Amino acid sequence: MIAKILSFALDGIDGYPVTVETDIGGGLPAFDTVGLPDAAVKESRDRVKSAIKNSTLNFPQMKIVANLAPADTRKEGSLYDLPIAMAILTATGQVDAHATEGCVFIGELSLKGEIRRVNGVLPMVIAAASQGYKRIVLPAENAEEASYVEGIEIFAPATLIEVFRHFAGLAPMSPVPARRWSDVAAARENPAHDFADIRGQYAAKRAMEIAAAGGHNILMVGPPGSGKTMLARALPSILPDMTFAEALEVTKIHSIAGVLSGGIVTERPFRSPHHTASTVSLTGGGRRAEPGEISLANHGVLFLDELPEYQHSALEALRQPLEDGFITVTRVQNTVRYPARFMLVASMNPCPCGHYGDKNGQCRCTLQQIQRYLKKISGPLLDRIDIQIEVPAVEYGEMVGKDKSESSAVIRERVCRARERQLERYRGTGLYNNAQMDSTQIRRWCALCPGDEKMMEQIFRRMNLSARGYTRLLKVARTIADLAGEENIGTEHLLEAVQYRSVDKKYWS
Amino acid sequence: MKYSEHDLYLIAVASVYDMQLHTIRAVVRAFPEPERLIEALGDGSDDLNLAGEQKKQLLSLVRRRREVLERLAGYRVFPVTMGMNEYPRALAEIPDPPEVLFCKGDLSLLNSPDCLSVIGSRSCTRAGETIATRIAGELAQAEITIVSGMARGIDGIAQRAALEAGGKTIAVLGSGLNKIYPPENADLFERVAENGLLVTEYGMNTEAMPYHFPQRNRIISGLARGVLVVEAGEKSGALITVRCALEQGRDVFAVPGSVLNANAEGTNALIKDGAVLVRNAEDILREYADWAERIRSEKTAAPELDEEEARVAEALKKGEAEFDVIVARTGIDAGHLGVVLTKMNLRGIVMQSAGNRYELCIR
Ligand SMILES: Nc1ncnc2c1ncn2[C@@H]1O[C@H](COP(=O)(O)OP(=O)(O)O)[C@@H](O)[C@H]1O
Ligand SMILES: [Mg+2]
Ligand SMILES: [Zn+2]
Repeated sequence: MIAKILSFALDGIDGYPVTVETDIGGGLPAFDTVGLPDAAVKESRDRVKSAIKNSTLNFPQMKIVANLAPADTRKEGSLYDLPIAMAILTATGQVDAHATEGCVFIGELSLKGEIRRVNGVLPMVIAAASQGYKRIVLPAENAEEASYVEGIEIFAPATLIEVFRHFAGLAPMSPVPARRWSDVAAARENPAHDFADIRGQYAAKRAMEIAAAGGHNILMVGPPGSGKTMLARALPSILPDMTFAEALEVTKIHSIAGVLSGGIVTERPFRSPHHTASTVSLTGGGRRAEPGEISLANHGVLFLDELPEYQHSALEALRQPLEDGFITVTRVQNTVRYPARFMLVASMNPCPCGHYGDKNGQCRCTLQQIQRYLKKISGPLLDRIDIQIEVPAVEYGEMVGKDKSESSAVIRERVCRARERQLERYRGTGLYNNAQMDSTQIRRWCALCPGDEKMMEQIFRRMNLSARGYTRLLKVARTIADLAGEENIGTEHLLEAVQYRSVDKKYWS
Repeated sequence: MKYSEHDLYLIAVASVYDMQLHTIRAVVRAFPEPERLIEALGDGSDDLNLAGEQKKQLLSLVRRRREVLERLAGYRVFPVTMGMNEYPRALAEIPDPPEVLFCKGDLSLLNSPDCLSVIGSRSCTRAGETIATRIAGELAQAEITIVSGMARGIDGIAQRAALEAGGKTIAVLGSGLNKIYPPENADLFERVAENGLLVTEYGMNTEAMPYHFPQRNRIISGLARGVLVVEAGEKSGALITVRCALEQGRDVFAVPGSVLNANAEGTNALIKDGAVLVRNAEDILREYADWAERIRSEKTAAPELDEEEARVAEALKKGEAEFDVIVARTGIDAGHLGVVLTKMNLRGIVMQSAGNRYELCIR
């Protein structure tokens, strides 16, 4: 007898339906899976067999073939345990074929018949709902991430026997109650790293605010202990809250990578891979074409601490996604595309010993050593970092008492307003922040009055700034104007923007 | 430029790989006539103390001495011999002046009366870098030509600063003009060729040898009125140049430093021995009547400051300070302070250095 059960598979972050067909017939007892299964899918035969038996259900002593269709795409992971088990139960008449019609099944089985969590549930539920499927059965532990998806009834049983009872009409399960994004969003906690806790660092905080407002990548150069890591960690706290669509996309990726803890991701991601990270772990790929750190940081912050310490190839691999906002990961049979729209925050010491530029002049590095160190960062990568600042170690002795730091919430308010202005301005252009402008768009949105144009020419000559830095300066000036609520870029905005380019001259000239 | 027969002969001899001054002289003394040299080298009766390879080269270059000149011109290199008008008068006075100078760039600088050498440690500190940049820049603005060795550290920094300030600089090399040393200053080499002058007594393809540099130093001091040492350790090569300067009757200037700074041991010792203590370009310009006139009077005249600029200037009275400290002292918020400081920087009222620090350039 033949039975068909629906399940899902992933292509990048998008899901597509897979049909699990089983044929049970005469011949020596055997159990085969076909349709490009990977090792985990093949192992599912043993799990399914034990799970059915240990659930006090019947496992047929016949020849069983389970086919995963379409047969030309690779099936990965253990999520087909449950649909295969259901197909066997249906083919053997233990469950009525009509009962499971149109219902999607996802889940790994333990030998005892428990249903275990699997990766990538959210993108599959979203895909199932949008493709018109009305019911889905998935592991209890994945219930929370799935519960935000509307338009589909979700069942999240803990064991195979519960599923059997439901579809055999013995004991119906109740669907998982739907959760609403607005409730989660409202219940968000105070940020763990708040700007109010950072003493001084006025210049760096201002630069962070501008970076957040325009979506600009930022590089911090400073000695050890000056607060670079602390500033980077606080950045997400001044970014606008994620929209539901953004949160879903982030959760999808985290779900696929198996780093999801609990439900939907509500905070913007902050990823800080160690400098020993391989290119694959940064960009994604490997045998299973999993998303890398840059995709896990999607809609959030990718923090690369001690930038020159990263492998050269890893840094170079960042260039394309920084430009495109996505990464294409190639694997044996096809390519997968993952979103990778992140803010890059990088930090580095000014020289090998870390103390070049310190007040007490303790740096003994020769200029040659310093140049060799700085050269580890390639020009094209620097070109993608709009804001570059120095974060010196400042003694705050004389500031005690005068220090009235703003909280992240206050700064975020200004950031949000500046972002709204950008969304308004770029409506219909595909852009949504200033950092994304290309040279044509810069010409259109960053026009200067003739007086300012002359002034900038002078500044570049006088301060010996690199011409390559000019477009980046204009983008940053655009954001400063947006923070100020101004329609046009004015002299003030340009003069401030010069501040965020001076590192270039001092270090990479 | 006019070359005599003898000039062509000298140039050909000096073009031989790694030719030292005493050897050039020995060759020309033993064989005043090039034809005699060719004969002697031809039959091996020359008796010259030269390596075989050098002899072969010498023979071939002297035979085709006219071509040598053309080949050099192809590189835009012009040799100048002691007998020529273009030869620096200042160099002609020193003991052991070079017989031939291979030059590339602005030849008129050879006889510029306004040259000062700026030299110092190859592994300088940040403070040394700042001082060299500032003083060389100010000197260049006073139309003083900065002479140096284009070495790592102070030399190259001072020469870059001179060019940046729109001034002139002469680089004296310890290698041929086809062998740029140190390689990281290749860009500076190009810039000096464009806006200054490159000089060496070594033939085109001669590599930089350690024993060239002490020799080369006598030209650095010889071309200038005086030598300024910015940073020098106890045994710094810069002190060799100082010795040359003293032999040549040139003035010696030195920037003092902390007694704890090993890089200031040499300069502090020089000052103790009577070198002129230098804090800024003015301290040097004052030493010469014709240069003293060039001291910028507007520097002392206070520029107009608006209310905010005055607050910043007040905050910097006690000395340089970080951006954040200026925020704390003036109460101007960070974004706007960036605007004010950029403006003041452009007007030359403040100067920015590594570590996002500012200092006042006016009194
Ligand atoms: N401005 C500051 N306000 C409060 N704490 C600071 C500040 N600067 C540094 N710190 C503290 O000093 C330590 C070192 O800071 P960190 O961010 O790790 O420096 P870096 O990454 O530049 O080496 C941290 O514990 C941090 O909390
Ligand atoms: Mg750190
Ligand atoms: Zn150092």
